[in-house]
Formats: sequence, C-alpha cells, structure tokens
Amino acid sequence: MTKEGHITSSCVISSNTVYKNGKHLFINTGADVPDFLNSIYKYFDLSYSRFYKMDSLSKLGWLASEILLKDTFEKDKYKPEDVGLILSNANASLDTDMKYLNSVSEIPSPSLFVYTLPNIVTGEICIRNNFKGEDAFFIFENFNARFLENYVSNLLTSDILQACICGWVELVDEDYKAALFLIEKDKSDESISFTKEHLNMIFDNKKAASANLPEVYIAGVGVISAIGNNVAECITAFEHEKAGIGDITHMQTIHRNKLPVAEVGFTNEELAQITGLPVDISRTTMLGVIAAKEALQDAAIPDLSSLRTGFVSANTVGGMDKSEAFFIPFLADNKRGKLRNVFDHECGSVTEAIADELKIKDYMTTISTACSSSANSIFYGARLIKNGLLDVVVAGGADALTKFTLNGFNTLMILDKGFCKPFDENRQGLNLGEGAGYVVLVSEKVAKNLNKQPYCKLSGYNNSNDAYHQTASSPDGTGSYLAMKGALEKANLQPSDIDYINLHGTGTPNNDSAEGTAVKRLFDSVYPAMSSTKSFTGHTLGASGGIEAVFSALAVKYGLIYPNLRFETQMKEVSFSPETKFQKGKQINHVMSNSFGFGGNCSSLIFSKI
Amino acid sequence: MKIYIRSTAAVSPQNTFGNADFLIEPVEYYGTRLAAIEPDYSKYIDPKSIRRMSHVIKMGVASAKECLNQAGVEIPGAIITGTAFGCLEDTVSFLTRVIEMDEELLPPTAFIQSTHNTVAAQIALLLKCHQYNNTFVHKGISFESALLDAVMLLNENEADNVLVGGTEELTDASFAILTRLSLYKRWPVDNLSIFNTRSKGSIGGEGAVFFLLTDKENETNLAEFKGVQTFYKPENIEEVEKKIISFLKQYDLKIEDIDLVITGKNGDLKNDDIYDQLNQSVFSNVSLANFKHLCGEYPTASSFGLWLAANIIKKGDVPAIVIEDEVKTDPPKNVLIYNHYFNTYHSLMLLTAC
Repeated sequence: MTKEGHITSSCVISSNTVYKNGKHLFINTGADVPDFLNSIYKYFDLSYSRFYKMDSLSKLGWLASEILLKDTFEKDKYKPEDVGLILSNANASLDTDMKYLNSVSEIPSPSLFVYTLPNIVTGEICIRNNFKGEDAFFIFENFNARFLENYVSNLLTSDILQACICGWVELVDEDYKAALFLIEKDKSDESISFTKEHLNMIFDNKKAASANLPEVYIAGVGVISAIGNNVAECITAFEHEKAGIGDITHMQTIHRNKLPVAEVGFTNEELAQITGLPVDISRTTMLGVIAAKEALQDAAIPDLSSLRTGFVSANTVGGMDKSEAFFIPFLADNKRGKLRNVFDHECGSVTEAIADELKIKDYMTTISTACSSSANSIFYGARLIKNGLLDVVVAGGADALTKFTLNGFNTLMILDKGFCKPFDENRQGLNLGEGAGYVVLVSEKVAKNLNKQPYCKLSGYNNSNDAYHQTASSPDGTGSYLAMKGALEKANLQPSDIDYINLHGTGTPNNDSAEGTAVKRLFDSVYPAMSSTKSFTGHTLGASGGIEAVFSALAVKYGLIYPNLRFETQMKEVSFSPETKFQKGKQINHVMSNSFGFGGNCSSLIFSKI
Repeated sequence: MKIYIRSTAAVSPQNTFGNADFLIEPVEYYGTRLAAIEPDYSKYIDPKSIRRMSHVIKMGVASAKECLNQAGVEIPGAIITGTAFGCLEDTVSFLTRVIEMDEELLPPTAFIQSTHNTVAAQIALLLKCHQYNNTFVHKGISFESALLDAVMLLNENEADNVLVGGTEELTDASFAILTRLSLYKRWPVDNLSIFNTRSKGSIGGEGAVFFLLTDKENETNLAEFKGVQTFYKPENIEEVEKKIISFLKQYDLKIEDIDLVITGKNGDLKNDDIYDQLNQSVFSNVSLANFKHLCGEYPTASSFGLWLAANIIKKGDVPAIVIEDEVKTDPPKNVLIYNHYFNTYHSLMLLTAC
C-alpha cells in the first residue's frame, strides 16, 4: 500500500522551549513545570476556562495542540468525524496517578481521579476542537515513528480519516516532552512528506528546514583528469573503458616505474601555454583554470556580469609542488630558496589565482577537508545561493600530484603497486591521480534565463563525521552511512529512488569495506547501480568530489552508468557488485556521489533530474 | 532570527585562557614573533594524545573544549574551523623528511596530521561528534568564511549551536620565510608600542580562538552576532568606505550608531595606511581600538578581534591597552570589527549587546 499524507504542521514542547515547525517561538528557562505550562498559556494569549482544571499531562498536550493548529489548520475543510487523534507516551498518566494516590491518604480528589487515564488528553483536545474521528492512545517505551507512520497512513488511505493529529505527550515530575504532528492528505507550502524519518527528525528537533529553501541547478560542467582534458574526452574514455593510469612521467621521484599514478597528459610547459599563465606557478592552479573555464563557458550564462558570482574551490596541499622545490635549498640554508616558489604555498592562493582568471570577485573561499574537500565546496556554494547571498557559484576543486602526497600515502601503505581494483575482494590499495572538476551552480532565476536546459539540480547533500580515527574509517562506516542517509533526507528521497551511486571507492581495503558496509546498511535489497570512477582517474584527492560531481551530472543528463574497471571478485562482506560495463541512454533520475576523507570527513551529494 | 555568541575561549600570546583578567596586565614581548601562551593541556587532552599532537592541534582542541565548557554544551551541532596555513609544523616536518631521507623510510605520523582539517577532525574525534564538520583555508578570510558557514547553518535550522574557530601556528620555517617576504619588521620591537614605530612590517603571531554560536536566547550569552561580510580587492578607499556603510545599513545602522570600531592595525606603515585614511573619513567620529599588538599578525587574527569585541560587550569594559584615543560611549553596545589582509581581503563583523 502506498503511504499517504504530509506533515503540514508540527509542535514540540521540551527543555523549557516551544517550537513550531522547527522554529522556537517561546522559551522560559527559570520556571518549574506547572509554571512553565501556565506561562505558555499566557504567552500565546489563549483563552479556555477548562485549561486551569486540567492535570499537567493534559495541559501539555492541549497546549501543543493549540500551537500546532494555530494559523495553520483550516478546520472548515473537514467534517468533525474526518479528524482523528492518535497519541502515545511511555508512562500513561503516571504523574497524576501518583498525585491521586497521595491524595487518597487524606481525601481522595475527584478532580485528580478523572485524569488518571492517559486518553483524557485526547479527550480534552477533541472537546476543544469538536473532533469526532478515531482517537486512541498507545503506550511505547520510546517514541515510535514507524508505528505512527503505518497506523496513521492506514487511517488516511482507507478514508477513515482525512486529517489526523498524532504524536507523543509525556510528563512525569520534571520530565516532559510533547511532539505533535498534523497529518493531512494535501500538501501545503511548508509541508514535508509523512515519513518516520521526518517524524524522528522533528521529534529530535532536527528539522530539514532547507526543504523549503530554493532549488539550485547545475548549468555547466568542466573537468580535466588523466582520462581527458575536457568533458568530451572523459566521456569517450569511459565509453572505450580506457583508464588513465600509468607510469609517473612528470614528477622527479624515486617511485617512478614503481608506483602507478593517473597523470594529466600535459606537461607544466604545455599547461602554461594553454592557460597563458607563467610556467612557474603551481600545476594545481593551471589544472583548475582549465576545468573552471570550461565549466563557465559551458554554462554560457547570459549577462553574467550583472549577477552576483562566487568561486568556491578546494584543494589539499595548495602550491606544494612549488614549495617542494623551494624547500630543497631552504633546508640547507634558510636564507636561500626562490621566494616566488613558496609565495603561493597556501591553499587559498590557488583559488585566488583561478578566480582572477575567471574574473570572479564578488565572493571566493577555499575548503580543505582532505578527500571530501570539493564535495563540501560544491554544497557550500549551493547554500550560498539558497541563502540568497549569490546568484551563480563556480564550485569544485583541483589537486596536482606532488611528492608530498605520493610519499604520504606511500608511508600509509595504501598505494597499489598495480592498477587499483575498487570494491574487489582482492583490492590492494589506491592509485593517486590529479586533475580538476567544477560545476556552475545557479539559482532558479538564473536557470530560467539560460539558453539551454540545466544538467540537473543538486537536490541533496550532507556532511557527517565518522569520529573514529584520523585516517582510518570505522568498520561499520558510520560516517559514510550518516552522510548518505542525511543527503537522502535532505533530498526527501528513499534509498530506492537512487539509480546510480558514484562510490568514493578508493580501492583501499579499509575504505571499500567501510563504504560497502554503509551502503549495505542503507540500500539492502534495493541496490542501485554502483561504480568507482577512480578505476579510471585514480584518486584525485581534493579534486575528486568535483570531478565526480561532473561525472554524476553527466550521468543524470545523458543516462550514463560508468564501469568499475578490473572488477573480478565480489567482496565477502557485501552482497552486491559494481557495474562493469559502460551504459548510456538509461533512465536515471537520481545519482548519489560519495566523498570521504582523512579526519573522518564524509560527504554525499545527490544530483536529480529536473 | 537572532544569532548569539554563547561562549568563547582563546589561546593567544596574551593571558586570555581560562579565568584570566581581561587584559589588565598585557604581556610584553621584545622581538618580532609572539608565541601563544600554552595552557595546561592535560585538563583537556589525555597525556598520550598530547605527545602526538602538534602545537596548533593542541591549541585548537583545548580552546574548543574550553569554549564548550563555558557554554555547558557537550556536543555542538557542527564544528567549523578556519586556518590559512593549516598544520604547518607537521607539513614542514614531513616535507623535510621527504627531502632529507630522499623519499625513503618515512614515518607516517606527520603526514597523517598535516591535512588542514586535522584540528576540526580531532575535536570531532575527542567529542565523538558525528555532526557537520568543515574547514576553510582561504588566506585572510579563512575564519570569516567559517563564521558565514555557521550563520547559514543556524539560518537553515541545521543546528542549534555551532562551534567555530580560527587557528594558526607560526613555526621556525614559516617565521623565516614570512620574514624574508617582508611581513615582519627587520629588527626587534616592543609589541605594546608597535603603533609608534612608523616602519615597514608587522610582528608575527598565532593562536586558536573558538566561539559557540547559537540562535537560542540565554542570559549568559556574550553578545548578539549581527553578521559578517568579506570583500576582495577594492578599487580604492572610497569603495572600502561604501562597503562599510552598506554593511551597517543592512542592520539599519549608521556609523554614528557604532560605539566602538576595532581595527586590524598591525604596525606596518603600508597596511595601516588604509586604517589611517578611514580614520580621517568614515571612522573620524567613532571610538577606535586595536588588537594586533597583543596577538600579532596572522591570517586568522580577526578571531582574536572578535573575542575582544564579545568580551568588551559582555563585561562592559574596554581594556586600556586596546584603546586608540578615547572611548566616548562606555560601555559600548554596538561594536564593529574591521580587518584587512594586505588590502586584498577585507572583513567586517558586527556585534551588539543582547
């Protein structure tokens, strides 16, 4: 049976605070429970003589229902018997039962006795509002969102009710909490879908307020990586299943011919010639300029100069390739070393140089959260638009190969001496790569003025922390799980809505096992198509989220699924395998892209068809 | 929605950590490098971890935890840091070994802790905080970017409170390089009289300053955080003036309504010229205060400026050592912080009494 209904209003009263639809309306920290309840009654200017006769539990539930329905509920839409009330708590009417028991030793109080049933709360609310539909009170140890979702949606789908107030009202001594939800069949401007996840989110005061924020669209994409110097070349490489991994040719290192990497084909001299930049600047900057320019040209936004435009970029080691050259003479004598080589060491310098080339100056910043850096830069950019601060944001990241990172990953013993095999039982590690990937994010208004249809929209995103270890992922992939789950909630989607996951899939035993476990936990039985494009591009670190966002946007637009190269044996701990063949023209509505990094930084993005 | 500074904690070259007096006895240095005064880390971090952690990680973690203690909050709704240089000590240490050992037999620890997000990550790890975690690394507006992210998260109702901080460490290598790049003076100076030297260069500094921002009212909130704005490469001083006026206008304020402007003057002639020009125009009738003689110049030094402003408002007292000439409205209610970084990145932050 399909679930029906929308949460059109919510009210939570807890911790001396009253919240409606996630916004706190009233707070009174000094008061005890009875005084706090009376202060709510006064603050909201309520007038109902029965209020002062009620016991505390009824007062709490009644107040929550008043605030829940105030200004949001169109009572005239419904007949009295069409509106019902399904409430729950853990301790029934224990608070009043105890008070009544105490009164028995002297004179049993009839006014207390009538409240020694929990369903009196529902009665009080029904009397006040003349509701005559089904009502019930259930006892659960904890707030049971799954039960409420099933029970109430059945009442709605079978037309027993047209609207229902449901939730939790609990009060024992100084502990109390009310969380009421108004469920109606029709959507409203502020409503969110009636799911157990949303009930829990509101119950815990974690409202997905951005469900109401404006949409952000992807109007242009640009990429440079080991498999191609632009979008078209990368798609061709996927089609021909041609990886970009090979021997080190540009960098001077003892690991040449020992550790394979995924290099961009151009030398620094060639990059300088193409970009018109001086050859002695960081390779990261030059890669970034190429991809960001492609993205901006692709978007072809009319009258761009009249719009508020920002640049949010990511990288992990800034101008480290040049700092390495500086440090050799500097270490021998700290008065030596060409200052030009260290001047742009900071991550921000790379961003600034690219922004100057793009002539963007309204806003710029840089994010560095290791391997999830550019996924974070993309959704930070989207939020700048959603918050009305900018109209257009070029967002993504760039990273060139450096001796610093190559040796760093080598000390961790997570580099594969052969070509990486993501999500394979016999995977040995990752291959480092380099490149840059950017998307052009635009507001709804800008999207409407484009001369072409945007690629897709950025519908979901989440950043969660694994909080397990500085470099290793937790065995159950807690951070990955929370990031994917959070992104689904943000996009208001179910796991079964996702058609393709662009996995983080580095090829290290630890990452793929943690990510696989998290995917299993979230998607079990409804596995979408999955693959790691790092089997083509290598792991491009701070650029990977940007590059893979470009691939994800293309997947939505052209119905592409990318193959996971060199896959042979399914991992023992999971019951799924990645896709191994390139496919195009598929119906793809939603793509998830995962980026996880050192420091437990886990981010997931969701790209959706318009 | 209103946003408040719930609490703050600062590790800096001054006695700012814990229950120290509010800059009554400023610490005097003779030289061009101010080093942060280390608190007793064992109160915040277990001894085994202390040994592994670099200077900036220890400063950051201690100040973050103290900030949460002050607020009585165990787990924040998000952790966001700003740092231009990141974990320099570990970065330089690993880079040095790569070169000196010729890429062989390298220990991984320095590399592991070299990523810019290490401070935010270590805080999350110690708190077991799975929430939003981000690190901004954009030169002189790294901290301001983190603040803007925090403000947006609160606006989006994604969190009830956000831990946000600016961290930076100065190492021997970075001090030598930045001195060669003419950031610092070429001869030793007394930090407390740096504004009288009228010469090129500033003094280097470092520190870790954290804030807990919240949208919940509370009696012990320090100040209301009205907003933050940054701008890049203004064409001329008139554009800076315009930006300042339009920033205040967003909050229905005029420059006359500002009781105190805290500026990022750092003792470098060229740098301070911008402030001097503004003091003749937009700031000509407002009370002025400075802070970089106390914490030194570094890319996230504006976090020290914000710490100062929040404390001035809460305590209703402007420490004598920060006052440029006189304070006309005492205690100040509306405090503006204006800072620029090489006249490339400019930032404005506005606080008001709750």
